[in-house]
Amino acid sequence: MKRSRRLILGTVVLAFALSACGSSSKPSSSGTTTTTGGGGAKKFSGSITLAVNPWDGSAANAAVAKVILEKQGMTVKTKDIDENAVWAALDSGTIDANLEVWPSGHAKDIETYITTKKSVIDGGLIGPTGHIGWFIPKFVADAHPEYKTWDGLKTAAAAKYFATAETGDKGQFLLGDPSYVSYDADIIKNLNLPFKVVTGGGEAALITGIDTAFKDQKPLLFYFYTPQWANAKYDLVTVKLPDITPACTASAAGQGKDGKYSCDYPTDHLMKAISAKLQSKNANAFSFLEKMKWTDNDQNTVTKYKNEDGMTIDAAAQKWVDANPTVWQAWLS
Amino acid sequence: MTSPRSLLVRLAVPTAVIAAFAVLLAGVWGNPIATWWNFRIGPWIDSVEEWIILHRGNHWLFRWGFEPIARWLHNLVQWDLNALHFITWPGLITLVVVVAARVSGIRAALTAGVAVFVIGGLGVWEPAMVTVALMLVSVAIVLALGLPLGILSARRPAFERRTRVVLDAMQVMPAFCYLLPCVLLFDIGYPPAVVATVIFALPAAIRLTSHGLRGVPDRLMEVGTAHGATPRQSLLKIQLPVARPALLLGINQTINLALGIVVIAALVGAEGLGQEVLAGLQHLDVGQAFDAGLAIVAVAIVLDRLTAGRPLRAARKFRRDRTPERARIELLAGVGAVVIAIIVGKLWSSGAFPTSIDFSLHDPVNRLVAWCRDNLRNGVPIIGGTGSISDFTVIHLLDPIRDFLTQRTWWEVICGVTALAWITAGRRVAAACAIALLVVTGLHADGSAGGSIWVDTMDTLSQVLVAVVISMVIALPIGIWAGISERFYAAIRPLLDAMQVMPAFVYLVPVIGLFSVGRVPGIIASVVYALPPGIRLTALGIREVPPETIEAARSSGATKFQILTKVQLPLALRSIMLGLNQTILMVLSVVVIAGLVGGGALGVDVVYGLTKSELGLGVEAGIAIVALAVVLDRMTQAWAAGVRGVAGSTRLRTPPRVIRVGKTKLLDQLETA
Repeated sequence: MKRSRRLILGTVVLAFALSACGSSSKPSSSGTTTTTGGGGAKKFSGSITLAVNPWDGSAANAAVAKVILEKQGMTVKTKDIDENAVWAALDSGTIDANLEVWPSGHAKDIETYITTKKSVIDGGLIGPTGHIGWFIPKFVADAHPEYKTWDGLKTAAAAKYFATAETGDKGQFLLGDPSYVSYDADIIKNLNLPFKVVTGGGEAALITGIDTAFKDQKPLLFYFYTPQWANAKYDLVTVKLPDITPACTASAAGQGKDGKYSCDYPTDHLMKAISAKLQSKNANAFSFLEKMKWTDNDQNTVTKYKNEDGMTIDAAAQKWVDANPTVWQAWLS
Repeated sequence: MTSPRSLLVRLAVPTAVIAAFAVLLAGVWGNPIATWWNFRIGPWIDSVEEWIILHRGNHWLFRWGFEPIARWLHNLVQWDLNALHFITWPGLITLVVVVAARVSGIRAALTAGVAVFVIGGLGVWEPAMVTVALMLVSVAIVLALGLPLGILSARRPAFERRTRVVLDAMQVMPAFCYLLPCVLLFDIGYPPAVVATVIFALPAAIRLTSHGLRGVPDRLMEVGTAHGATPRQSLLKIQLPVARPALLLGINQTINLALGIVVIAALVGAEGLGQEVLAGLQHLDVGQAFDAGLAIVAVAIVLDRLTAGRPLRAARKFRRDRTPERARIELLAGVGAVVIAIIVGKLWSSGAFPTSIDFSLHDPVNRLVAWCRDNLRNGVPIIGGTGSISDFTVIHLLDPIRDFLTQRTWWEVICGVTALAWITAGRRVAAACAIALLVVTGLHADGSAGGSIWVDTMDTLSQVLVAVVISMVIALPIGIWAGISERFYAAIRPLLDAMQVMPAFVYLVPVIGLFSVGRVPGIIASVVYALPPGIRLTALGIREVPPETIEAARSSGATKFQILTKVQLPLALRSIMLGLNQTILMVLSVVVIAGLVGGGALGVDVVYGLTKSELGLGVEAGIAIVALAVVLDRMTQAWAAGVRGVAGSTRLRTPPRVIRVGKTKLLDQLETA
């Protein structure tokens, strides 16, 4: 019976045949638009690819860079990619830059690619700062002001208040994505807090947990960070942890492997990571990306346009670029 | 029947041997975790990773090995994508309809055409084309590798035996474990996604091919030999044609499994529908994720109709009626229709799918999710609500089992499992279980939560057991009903299909919303994914009972209930046991997903290890998952083999590993055959 063979062959051939007839045509939509113009000296040309990690700030940085550089006559592509997978792409030059790296979560990548292999270049700070910390909903803080500091969490009453089925007689501390830097288990241990870490496993799980807590008006103590879109939606209050000591700084330098971390989280100065290959490939674009720097406020404006006014991220970036020429003109010089 | 005496022997020997062993070990070790040996797999993997990072880009292995392969894969996908863009959406619909009509008949063609249209109407045409291009390339490669290897493994039992563990590992090892390493070797984008898909889907293709060929009756082969056929001739003229249903099934399975990688492929920059699902998840926008998930189901339907082939009887009629002239006319008409459609598409809005056609379920889905969260969590009469169900499961099911398993010392667990396997499944299975668990004791990477791999393995095992029990409790009654009522089964079949192809990421958010972050949402996700094979195999078992047997029971005055409990269920037991086996493997294959919603343990270890560049931990956790699969799979398979039943004696001689993971199309085919 020949049909089976033909069928199998057919499937194989179909894939290759499609390839063949496709090679003659250009993609009708490549997801990028090229706008030439801008006048003046044609400093900027060629094409670069920027990484977009799965959060709004990252998308805002890339969109603003894209709007400005395309106005100068460049082609800028963006690539949605996981924040960990992006390092290998920066290393090989497939992606030219990642404009928002939270250094606390990537100590090992920074050491491997920037310090040792030197295939990725530290592009300096992007401006906005990240804050990781412990949070509670505002309604919890209002009902129990004592839980706004770590001292207040020491009691058995606190444990009972925050307890869930998962943690039994201890209070629950909810963690999100396991790849984000977290000293929480050590903080809890070293400060003798009657709490237990439950790993949500992902950011979506964490925010859903927060959402449920607000809907049910149930207590919740959790790991969270700014900037993050959910901060605008839910009224959150920081829990005060002990001030940072030299011992904690030393412990953090070793990714908390010594198990001695017992302080507040250090501020994350968000940085840019640029592929070393871009320096020789497109020095002007490299220098632009290195100079690019804005503020928490600028970035929040763009993400607000997107989340509250329902604009696309590109339109939001365009609106910011139109309104703030003085800020970004400095990046071009 | 075993006599009491031989039963005594059967029980006494293993018990005595293992008890002696246990007493011996008890004297030596009181530590719950084995500390005497360390296979150092994790550190070894870490050093390999470091070497790769430092040498990628300049070493010859990358220059002349991985990089050209990656470029080739990328171009292949890009070409397919360009072709899909070139033919425009009216062209694609027509092409799909024409090909499906030729391959699978008119009805299938209409379904496929509608499915393509729905993809456009969901507003995800562009990403869907990326996914389709990825699928075409991956599936083509899987078949190009899988068919020859399958033939080889059918002809050389030794090859089959030796590759068995490797194929098992490829199927159960979470795709996460090799996706990110693939990035180091093949860079980001399409190539690592294609490679990961090939790894995941290849075993099914090999096994179904080999199974199909070995299912060819010996007498047919003898006829061939008697007529002087060379081995090549008997392969091409006898084995392959006779094995056609199994081979088609292999293609089908391959496609469905390949679609399972779509979402995580987006993590490494492969874009497509997976990216849409992730983007929805990022803002807890279930509606957006659901639209994309629905499009993935539609892609599965399209590809299924393109490759399923006609049902046996229709195929025979089709061949009889088909004259060469008619074939030529059909070909011309088909090509003509596609060309016209492409021209129409080119003229009309340059081939982009019109945005005015909108089937999006975004808003209704989001409203439904909000309603469920507001109304089902609390205050439901009698049961209280999903919140209290969740708490009950944790306190009364999960905690006791986990505590029991983690508080035993490692050798207590191993001896217990080995004894159980020896008594119920025989010596060989017992040995396999013991070895698998001993391997786990030698894994010593630091778990993400500071626990050891062994403790996390026991934690995961407790969750797997609970998920399996819940799945079977739900699957049995539904399966029995589906076995009795043809109409009911026809009604739930599309739902079962959708449950398996719809990515779990789509329903994670509502599930967490209902059941609070923790182990329960993970278990719910596993149950949703694992229910279909349990239901199908139970239904199959019931339906496979020969009508004569039921008739005989009825004529001797048995009531319907008696027929069910005394005749149908006992005879369906073997099939149900296979359902149990499948359920376990399905649950194990979503351990990582469960980790993403609060399941912790091995699932989180895998995610943590791979995202934190601690590959060693991720791989060790992956190996532990494979070890659990070996133990549970071998044991339940042996149980199934030991049970008498029609399913085993007549049509379903399939070794269950052939049909594992993902789809149960085989069952459908058997049912319609």
